[in-house]
Amino acid sequence: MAETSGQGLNARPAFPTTCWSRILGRGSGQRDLEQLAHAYWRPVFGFISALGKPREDARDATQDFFAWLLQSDLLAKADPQRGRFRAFLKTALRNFVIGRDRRDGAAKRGGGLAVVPLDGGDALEGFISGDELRTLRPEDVLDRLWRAALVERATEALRQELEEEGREVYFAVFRDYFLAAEDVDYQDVAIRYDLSRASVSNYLQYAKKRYRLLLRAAVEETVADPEALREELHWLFGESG
Amino acid sequence: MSERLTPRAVDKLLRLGAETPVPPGGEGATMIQGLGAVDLGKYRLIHEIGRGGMGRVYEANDTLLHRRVALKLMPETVGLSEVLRRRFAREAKAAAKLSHPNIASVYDATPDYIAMQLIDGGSILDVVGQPPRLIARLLRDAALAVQYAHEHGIVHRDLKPSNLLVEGDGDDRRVFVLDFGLAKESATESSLSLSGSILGTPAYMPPEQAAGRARDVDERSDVYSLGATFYSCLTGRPPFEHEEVLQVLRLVVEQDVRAPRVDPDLDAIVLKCLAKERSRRYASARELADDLTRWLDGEPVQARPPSLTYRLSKFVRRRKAYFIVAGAAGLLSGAFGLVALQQAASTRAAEGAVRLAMRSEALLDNAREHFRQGEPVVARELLTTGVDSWQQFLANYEVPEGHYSLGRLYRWLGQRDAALGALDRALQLEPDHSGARFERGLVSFAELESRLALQRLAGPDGDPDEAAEIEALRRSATADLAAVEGLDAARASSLGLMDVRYARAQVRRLEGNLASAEAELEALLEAAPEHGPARLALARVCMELGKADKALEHSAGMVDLENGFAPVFLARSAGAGSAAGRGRELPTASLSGVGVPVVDFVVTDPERGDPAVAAAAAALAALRAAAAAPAAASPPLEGWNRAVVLGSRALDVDAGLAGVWHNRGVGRMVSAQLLSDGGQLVAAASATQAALNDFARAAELAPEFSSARLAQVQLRLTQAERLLKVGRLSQAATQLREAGSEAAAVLRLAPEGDRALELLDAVRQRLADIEALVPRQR
Repeated sequence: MAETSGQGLNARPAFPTTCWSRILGRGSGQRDLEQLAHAYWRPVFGFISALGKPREDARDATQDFFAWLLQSDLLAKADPQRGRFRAFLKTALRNFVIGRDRRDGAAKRGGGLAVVPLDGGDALEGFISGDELRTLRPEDVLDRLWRAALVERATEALRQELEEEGREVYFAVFRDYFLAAEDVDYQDVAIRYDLSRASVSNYLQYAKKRYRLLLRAAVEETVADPEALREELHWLFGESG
Repeated sequence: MSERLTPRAVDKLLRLGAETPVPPGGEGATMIQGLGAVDLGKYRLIHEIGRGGMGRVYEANDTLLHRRVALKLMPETVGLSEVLRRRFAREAKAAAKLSHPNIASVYDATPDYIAMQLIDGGSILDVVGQPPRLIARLLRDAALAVQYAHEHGIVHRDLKPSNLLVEGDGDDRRVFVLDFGLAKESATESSLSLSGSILGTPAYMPPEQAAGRARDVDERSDVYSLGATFYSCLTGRPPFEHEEVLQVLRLVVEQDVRAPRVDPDLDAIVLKCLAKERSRRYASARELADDLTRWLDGEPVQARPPSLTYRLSKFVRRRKAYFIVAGAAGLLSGAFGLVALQQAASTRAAEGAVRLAMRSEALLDNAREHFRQGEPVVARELLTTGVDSWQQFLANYEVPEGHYSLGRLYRWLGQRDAALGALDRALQLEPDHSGARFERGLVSFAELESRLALQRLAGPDGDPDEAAEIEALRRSATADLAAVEGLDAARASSLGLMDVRYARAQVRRLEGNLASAEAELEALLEAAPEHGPARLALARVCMELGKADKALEHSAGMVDLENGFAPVFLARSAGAGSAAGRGRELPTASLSGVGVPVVDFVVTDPERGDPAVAAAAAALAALRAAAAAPAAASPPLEGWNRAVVLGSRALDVDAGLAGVWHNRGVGRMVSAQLLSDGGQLVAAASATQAALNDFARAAELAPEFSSARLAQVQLRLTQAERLLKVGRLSQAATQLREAGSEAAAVLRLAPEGDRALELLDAVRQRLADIEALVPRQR
């Protein structure tokens, strides 16, 4: 017991484990992957659709892709793009498509992983037009849908959270303000929910602050290290404004 | 999903998300661990509202009590140890007992975070440009809050605009004081911060704090900081400004502040708060509050512009300093009229000297802290900065205070002759400079101790000249140290009462009056249990008195005090009496860069007598000196060689001292490293072999002496690495195998030994490396 001094710094990990880093760390993590697949099936679906697949085929192919991903050794391979789930998926999708055209139908449908809702056929409506689907690169389609998926995920988390806390009105205000088809002002919203303008403002401020954190958290789920996080946030916000 | 987002909504929500500044990656990212987990205990983080030296602050929701709070996350910077974070929490808990309308309540404190009342407002600086009445009222309220905390025994120590928040609008504005109790522990950190960059602005720090005189910080320090904040609110700028933190510190200590020129009475109030001497400030926050109330009520205030007599006395003091300066610099050549003309410039010089001296004290304090933390390089850098400043200054103006201060810096740098030179010069210029005499006494005393040790080694046949020199040294050390008895109160307090008592005790010891020295030291330690040198001195005195158990107890106390001190006690208590040397090891720290602990020990076997103890102590002192010597100052090998030679002499007297064998091994080990660095590989190899023998002997004498055994492991490891470099694989492998079996043996002895485990791992790694190399060689 001669040497005990000098240590004892209670160092915490520099970066949290995220959904994506857990998947990478284990090489396979069915539950985490399923979670991400559920959140990001639409961008994948868009990618495959942009390759010119008919809807029904694209739907099956999306299912197959995630099943294939789980079974493949891709997750265990070192790859400079592994830090970001989005970038990783693009590479994986290209690999999958090349392989799949050769062994069409060989993979088991679904593989026990149903990520695309049955009515997911018209999932792209409103996001991407038929023309765009034919002209845009599949990667660009995926990116555009990815943004929407992140925002959706954060919004959904916000809704759940506010409802759990009994703050349904907060979310209603937030929804009216940000999700509605037309612009609204405080006055409209105040009348609609029988609130003072000050309350509307306060609720909105709260929801906005919380939303920003949740959006950031949603991005964090899909990256494995700080550098990747910075790149991903830069991609998300840098090109949106 | 309940909502189907339109592209328009997506755009809006993306823009909303983009409003968050993208934080630099990594740091701080720990808080967010995926959706649904943006939480800390029962607190749900909402957004970041600030960050500072104390870490990040979030607005958060208490999900149980449904209230909004400000959550301060403890910084995770390296260096803020778990211990310190716990202390933070404890301090914050103390502050949680405060309940006052103008103090932000602390709800909850853990080592990870502090939850406190969320103030919906900004820094008090937002009132800059508002009517002075409003500002005065807010400051009065803040002063009353601070007074309330003082009455509960809590001094803030870090009052500044960012800790005074204002909520509300118009005349309903209300001020809140934040972060009571959090600064106390930061004081420990500030020495780190000075060399690093964590420290925020010290512009609101009182001079006593800026000069590092922590024990002078009291309620009046808070009065100063309130005054400085008041100043900022009235004028829009802090009392002292500079880009560099150290320069601000210097200004705080040295420069008189200019009046805000808002209102004569308010000016007087501000200046009274900002007096450099605590005794000239308001004696309490309440007095400040009362004066502000008087001003608000239109009554005459008590604060006055500095009186004529005060200004006159200051003038006289300045002139006195001026004459010393002018005399030395040869400025007094002209007529008195010329003197008057030059007065402004030279007065500044004289004041500069005094304040440079204060800054040196701050540097010394910091340096000592770094020594204690085992960072001698930083410490020496700080001290050298001080030396440089003085040398520049003294080249132009010679002042006794400067030489005195320089002498102190040199003493801490371990440059004995330079220290004596500077102190002698100080005493030449001002013969009754008792501080310089005391300091010179300490230098002589240290010299005396090592000479005495050597003399005892030589035995009765020693050199008579040496004996005479020692006697002279004893007399002068005694006389110099005794000078502290005659110190005037002001000087004594600047030295520190405890240091005065320490000197007194050492004088008793020099005079051979051990019992009285013991009593003095015990009394001192009762008042100041953390006084390390006194504790060590007491251990030695007890040893000399033959009180083995007490000596051991006090030495053990040192371990807690100075974590760089590294005592492994090989105590042979009279009762144990085994020739093998029984010992006990205590947590040790490494000698700088060598990775092997130095062994300090108290030999408490009266029959063995003094010579062995003294010789061992001398060898140890030499080892320490070598370790502390600035790398560039002298050929470093010399210091280590001296340590080895002294170790050998000690072993001549008593070859049964395992600790001395060990320490001589350390000396040889470092020498070997230096030789190897210098390309002298053959000499390095033989020094390594000699070191190995020393450690082996130590382990043989005291098989439970794991430090000695692990040193062997480490040496063999080093040896193997050298061999590997020159491609002698099989020899390296032999060394490694022996190292491995020794490490394993130690591990069996003490299975929880981290260091043994580490070394064993390193050995295995190297062996694996060799195995990987061998096939390629064939």
